[in-house]
Amino acid sequence: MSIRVAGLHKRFGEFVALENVDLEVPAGQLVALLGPSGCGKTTLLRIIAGLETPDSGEVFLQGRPATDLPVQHRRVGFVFQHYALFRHMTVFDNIAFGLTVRRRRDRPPAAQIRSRVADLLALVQLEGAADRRPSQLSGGQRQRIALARALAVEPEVLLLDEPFGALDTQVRQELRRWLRRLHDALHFTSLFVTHDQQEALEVADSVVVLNHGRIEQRGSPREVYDAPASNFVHRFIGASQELPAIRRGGRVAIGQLPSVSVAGPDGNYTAVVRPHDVTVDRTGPGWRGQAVGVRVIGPLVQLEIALEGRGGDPFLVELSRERYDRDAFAAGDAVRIGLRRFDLYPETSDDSDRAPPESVVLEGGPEAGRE
Amino acid sequence: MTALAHDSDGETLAAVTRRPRAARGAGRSVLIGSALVYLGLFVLLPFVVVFGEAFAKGVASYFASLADPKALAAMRLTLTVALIVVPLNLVFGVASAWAIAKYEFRGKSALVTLIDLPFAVSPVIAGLIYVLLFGARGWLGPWLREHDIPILFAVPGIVLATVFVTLPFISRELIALMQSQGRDEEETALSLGASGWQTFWRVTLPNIRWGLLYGVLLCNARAMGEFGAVSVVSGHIRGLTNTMPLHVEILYNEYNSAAAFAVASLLAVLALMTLIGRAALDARAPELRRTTLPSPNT
Amino acid sequence: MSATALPTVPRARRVLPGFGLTLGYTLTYVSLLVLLPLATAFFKTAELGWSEFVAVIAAPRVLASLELSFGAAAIAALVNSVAGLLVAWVLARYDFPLRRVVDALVDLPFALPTAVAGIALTALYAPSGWLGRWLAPLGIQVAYTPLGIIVALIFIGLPFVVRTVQPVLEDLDAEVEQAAATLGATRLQTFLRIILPALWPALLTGFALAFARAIGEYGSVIFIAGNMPLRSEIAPLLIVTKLEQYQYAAATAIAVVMLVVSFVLLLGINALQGWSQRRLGIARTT
Repeated sequence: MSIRVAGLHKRFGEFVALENVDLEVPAGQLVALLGPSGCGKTTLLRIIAGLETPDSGEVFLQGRPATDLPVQHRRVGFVFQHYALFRHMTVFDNIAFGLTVRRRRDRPPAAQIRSRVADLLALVQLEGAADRRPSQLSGGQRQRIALARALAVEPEVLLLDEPFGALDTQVRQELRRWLRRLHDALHFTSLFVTHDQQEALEVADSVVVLNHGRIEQRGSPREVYDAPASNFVHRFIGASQELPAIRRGGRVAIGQLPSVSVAGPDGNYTAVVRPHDVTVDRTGPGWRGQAVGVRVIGPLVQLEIALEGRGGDPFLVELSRERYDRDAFAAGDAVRIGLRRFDLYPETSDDSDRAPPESVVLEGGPEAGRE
Repeated sequence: MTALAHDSDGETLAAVTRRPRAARGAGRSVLIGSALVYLGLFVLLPFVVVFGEAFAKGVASYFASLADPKALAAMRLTLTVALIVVPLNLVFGVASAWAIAKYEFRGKSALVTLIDLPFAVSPVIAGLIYVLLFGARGWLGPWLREHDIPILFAVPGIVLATVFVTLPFISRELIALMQSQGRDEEETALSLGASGWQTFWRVTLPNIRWGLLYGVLLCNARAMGEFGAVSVVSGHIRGLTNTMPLHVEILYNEYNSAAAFAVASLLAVLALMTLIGRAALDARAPELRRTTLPSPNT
Repeated sequence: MSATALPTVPRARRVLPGFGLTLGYTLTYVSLLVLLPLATAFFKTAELGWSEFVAVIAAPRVLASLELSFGAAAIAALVNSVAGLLVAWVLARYDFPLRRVVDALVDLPFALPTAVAGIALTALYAPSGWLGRWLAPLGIQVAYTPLGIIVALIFIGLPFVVRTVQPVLEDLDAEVEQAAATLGATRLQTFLRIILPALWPALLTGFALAFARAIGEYGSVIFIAGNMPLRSEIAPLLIVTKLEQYQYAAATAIAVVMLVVSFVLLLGINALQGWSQRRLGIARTT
């Protein structure tokens, strides 16, 4: 079932939770709503579920207007961050709840309910847990029961509010991969809220980035990472750091780096750079600096470099282990850095500025031939 | 079971008591000793003395005092009042807690303060205000007399005054409990297709049942033991409007101390059972203790 | 959930059903049973007029009773603040035989009907009573004196202090104390500089609750007080006396003075509890 919302506004007192939000989720997709806390992502999810009413705007489910449809009739499965299992019921009764509250003529016979619950328990890999109570389960197990309970009523849409937010790192990694497999197997439409970019990029078909109640960008995980639509998205997704840049007569100068030809208006800019879009050499034309820290993190190596004439924290560079093994930089070494790629924002831009950046890709970087 | 099963989880155990142990030593013994002496002297001894005095004239006299028709009438009235008052405040408690804990609205904190008000009012004043309303010279008194509706110096007056003084017990217990439980479970039930009533009966009510019982226990204890408010509105008509506490007072003032203490001992047993019930509930639902704040004039 | 923690305005449509029904019922019930009767007391007093009101209150017997009620309540609450802190500390920090029984015992004054407490305390402290007979030779008379009133008010007030302080003590993070110890603080310093400041709001709340309760207390006091006008007659008893003499206006005037003080205390207690929760950073994570 497809989901569409149009022109949603929602305020809580003075606080604007959603501001003119339009979003379409095609049937069968797994979409992540990503953003910092207070960005409105949970409110959006709850409005789609019918747990919150918008001040204005419309919700459509499968193309039909659903704004005034009570939550009972929306056929959505909703999973809460803190599970919201009915604590006084057994696991079995929790999962069966949605079936047993149906009117007698719509209610499946007891035997059918039993087999359905058994199927769902098998699906969430908790076959033996039917008679246990929520308090006897671990966090990960509880969340899987909550999921099974939501699936029991065969919803057409699955909505998950920070489903893995309360779990340990390892459990959440396992659970999200499992959710992805489940989604692929069952093909419902899923929308999940998260503030964890790793989770969004890893699991979702499509990522919606929200900030201050507005959608900043909508795209595939690769698009939001490689081509951020705004300074906010750039800084929110993946590591990034800033260097001051100046453009004069169509040439952009960044520190000691050789200037590059990029047409556009003169002025002060901020170049936002990802740590892995930086090259490092011992000699050459780049920006001079000194390695002050070296950390080998498995297949990856992080160098901290104090750049000449740039105060503040050291500049971070990420190299592949392979590249690092060729030169084996050590703390104290003099180095030159170059940029492989950077995004240029007018200096005045901040979170609320949604102007797209100018992406500058330097194919002929100092190291281009060697990599 | 796959790799998914091995998540570590401290949540369920974290709530279990972790009391920081102070070093053992003389200081510890002195502190425990003085606390016990204080409690023994000021709390336990008055309780024990009730039974001591009740049996001062022997077992036969004790049971004779209890079997006295006036004592029996007082017991009946006390039970009747409790049987009316507790259900009234029970329904009110559930309704008010639902409105206050599950929704946001303007003036909510004012309403909560209003519900707490009876706790801050002297029992005597609680009786007085009903005398002002329903007494012979009160606002509604003449009209009530014309229509021959007895309220003051009759059972309805006692019920009203008791409802007033016990009004907050169940309500504030449930408000705190339901606020701490949030709305997630109700919202889940709705999203699974349950109706409002189904959600209430099958999700909310089972979740608050221990808190409800807790409130009922306290409300009942106070309803049966209320003295000041009832004393003002009852008129002390023996055999008719005397509750057990009032009967105790009369016997005591007539220098019939042993009989007074005999009836009092029943009320003391009620208090003891209330405490035991409370302790049992604490053991069953430890979170209740957390949500209960003491209040004045309980 | 970020949404529920934020200030909210009334929503046009509420998802959870039953709001109108339950709120309507609640408002009706509270208005009829609490608001209307209490308002009657204020209207009745307004009939008196200001000068008459002052005349009633300024009568020596009335002033003496108010002074006694507030004074004895304050002393009892103070005693309970110290003793209650001790009891709460012992219950929260130490394990000893019968700790659970002792813990339940603290609630006894809540549960015991006041009239029962009143005659029991009198039986204890009367000159021929269980304790009184040992105190009499020392020249200490408790029953039928203001001292007896204080004893009764101590009895009924104790649970308030213990039950407000104890949960805060139990919730205090043991690591904070351990941190203080690693920084070189002695146990006394830790108590005075770490624990006591954290307990302060709860202790103040407990005091206010015990005080508020004691002002209006009737049943447990009248048996032990002796009830001598100007000496050991508490204000609630004077209200009853005036009522029995059909002096409704005078009784109501005294009641209004006590009501106003109680309301101020109640508001103060609510503010204190809010302050205490904010101070301890009890932030709901849901």
